[in-house]
Amino acid sequence: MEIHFEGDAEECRATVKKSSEGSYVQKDAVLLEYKSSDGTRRRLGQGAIDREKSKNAPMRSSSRTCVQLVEKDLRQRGGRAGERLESSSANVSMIHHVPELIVSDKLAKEIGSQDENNLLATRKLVLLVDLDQTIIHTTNRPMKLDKKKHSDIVRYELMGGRYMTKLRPNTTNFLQKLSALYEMHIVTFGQRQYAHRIAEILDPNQKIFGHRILSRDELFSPQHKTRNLQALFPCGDNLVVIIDDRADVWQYSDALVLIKPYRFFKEVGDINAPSAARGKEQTLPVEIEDEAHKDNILEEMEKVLTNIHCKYYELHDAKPSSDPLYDVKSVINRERRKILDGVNIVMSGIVPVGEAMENTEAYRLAVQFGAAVAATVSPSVTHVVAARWGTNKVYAAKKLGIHVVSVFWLYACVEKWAKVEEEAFEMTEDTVAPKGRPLGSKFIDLANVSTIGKNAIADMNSEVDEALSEDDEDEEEDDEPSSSGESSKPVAIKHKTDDGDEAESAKRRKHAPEEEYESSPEESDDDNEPPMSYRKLVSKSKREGRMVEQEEKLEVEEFAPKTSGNEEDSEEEAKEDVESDDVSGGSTEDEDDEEMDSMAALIERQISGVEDPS
Amino acid sequence: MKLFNEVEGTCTGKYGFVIAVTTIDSIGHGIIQPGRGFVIYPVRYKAIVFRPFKGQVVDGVVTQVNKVGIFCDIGPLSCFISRHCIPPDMEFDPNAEKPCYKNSDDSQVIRNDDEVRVKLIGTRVDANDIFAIGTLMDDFLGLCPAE
Repeated sequence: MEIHFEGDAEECRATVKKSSEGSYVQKDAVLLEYKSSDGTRRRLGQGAIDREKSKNAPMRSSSRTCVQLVEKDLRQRGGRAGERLESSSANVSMIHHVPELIVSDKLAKEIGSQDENNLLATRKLVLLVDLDQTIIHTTNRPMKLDKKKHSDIVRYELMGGRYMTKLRPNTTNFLQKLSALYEMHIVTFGQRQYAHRIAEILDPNQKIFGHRILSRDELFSPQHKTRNLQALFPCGDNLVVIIDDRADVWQYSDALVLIKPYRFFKEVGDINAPSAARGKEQTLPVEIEDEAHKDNILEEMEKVLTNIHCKYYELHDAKPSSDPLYDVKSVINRERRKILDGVNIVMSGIVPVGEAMENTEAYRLAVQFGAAVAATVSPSVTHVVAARWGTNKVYAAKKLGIHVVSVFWLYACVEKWAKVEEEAFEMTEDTVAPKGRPLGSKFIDLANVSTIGKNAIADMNSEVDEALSEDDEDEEEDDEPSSSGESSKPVAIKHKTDDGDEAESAKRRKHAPEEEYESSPEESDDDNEPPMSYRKLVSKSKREGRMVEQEEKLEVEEFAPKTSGNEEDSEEEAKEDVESDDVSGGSTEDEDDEEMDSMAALIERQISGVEDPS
Repeated sequence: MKLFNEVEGTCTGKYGFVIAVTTIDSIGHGIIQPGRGFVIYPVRYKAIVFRPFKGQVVDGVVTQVNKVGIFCDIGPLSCFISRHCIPPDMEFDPNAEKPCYKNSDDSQVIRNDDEVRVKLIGTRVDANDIFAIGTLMDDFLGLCPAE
């Protein structure tokens, strides 16, 4: 703001300005202090300016300033909250953890460009850092810990829960070093309190992240983090680099440097995963992933990110200053392409039937890292990435002497940002498909499923048993199958698989001895006959259909190994016996029979329920 | 008494922040809630309240300094001072160890945990919260000299 004094006041000098050009001022505000020629200090305020005139015209006594006067309220008297006289143009929320504060587009652009210039002046880029599974791993499960061994695990209480957080090896060093090259931001799906608590752990002096923490509470979208970028960086995300363990939340942005998910506590996923895809909570005590200590991804990432920064500013310095800014995405892309440059890949057994090759994760990664992907094996192909041995392409590749590697070779390249040696991933005839997780997001956690283990299965079985016994009671009262109960059962049965049958037979065994005891006096005259319990079971097995029959064979072997030859006779007799039992048996036997029958009926229903959909 | 716990520290749009209950004037007849067994008593009490008004000059503690302005706490009230309401000779410096607003010769620096004198130029009164915006562009406003 320039101030000119006219006429006899020409020697006056402005000393303190209290307003700026284009800004809004209060009705009675002092706008400026000035020294007049005789050395006295005067103030220029409301008294000196004709309010009506100054509204549009420049002020006369301090000309060429344009100070707008506003004294009216934004809301009319007696109006309701949120009602405005003028519509607001403010719609950009710029400050990380104050989403309520919104600024207008124009101002946001202005501030954004200031930010950008500031970044360039200090030769920095922006780095958005994810928390969970990227630089830390958190669990809220109880676990035993050797305190001496794991002194770096932080325990704290938050929102009524107890949490434990393990920093990825080398995190502090990583953040320290990169904060010299990057302006660090936290962008996480964790809740605000959690994010701030973690930031406190990572950066107690608030030197690295400061207040630049964006948490779930401030994210616009529950699925993606991308949309906040525009608000935070209104001048475009040319300087933004992202590290995260999931690509989908950034909608596969090019600025993303994917990092291998960090798992320290076994069987604990991302506790702040954006979707509801989290499985049923297990209450197993948490163990520690053995390989977690060897994790040196952050060291590699540090190199990668330093390289990106270095390359970017090389380019930036080389270009004339009038040119528009380089996009750091292009730098990342170029660096990334160099990694698998010259590699020609054929994928085998990876693309699901009926799906285009372009939709697979492996294809996306391969192309992103600069590899060419061909459809068929030819001499120009350098690698065949196969899911298993024995496909046509694998044989063709072997004939031509091309590397046949598992898909984990590709993932290893992606993780390390380097073309790794093929030897470790070379596939041979007797290679078993290795178990593990592909990098990135769209994986089905097979590792997790297989580690449910005996405890969990036993839990499941007991649950199923409980459900069954409950249903038995129901059945005694009411023989009609209740539809609501049935709907859930087929699922339970499916989960049980083979281990479930064991429990089932165990249960039956439990029943059997009693009956044996009750029925044996009656059957004592007939030596060829197997014990009562066996016949009952066999008869039941007939009624229940083939699936249970298999199960019963186990029983047969256990209870009556001799009689496997004359099964059919005994079955017929058994049926008769059952009927006679029903008539002649005592009250306790009746109850037992009823229970058995009802159980049989129940299992029958379940089986039919399972079989019907297929 | 339960009233103290329940009412102190809350905020109503009409009366502002209730700081402390001083006296209880009268406790009326209780009315039993139908179907619940709880009793509601009408209680008349006097309390010290803090109700910010437009134009009021108050002292606050700076909680955050960023590119769009300064946030400060005036007791329970949080107040935002926009960039435009900070004297134009004070510029934002994002590269300092703590982000701050300072004037060209560094004689005045506003950063976190500093005390500032603010004039409120507007309040937003919600049902149970009050926000304010303030200005530093007036006489005797700005950084309070350290005692």
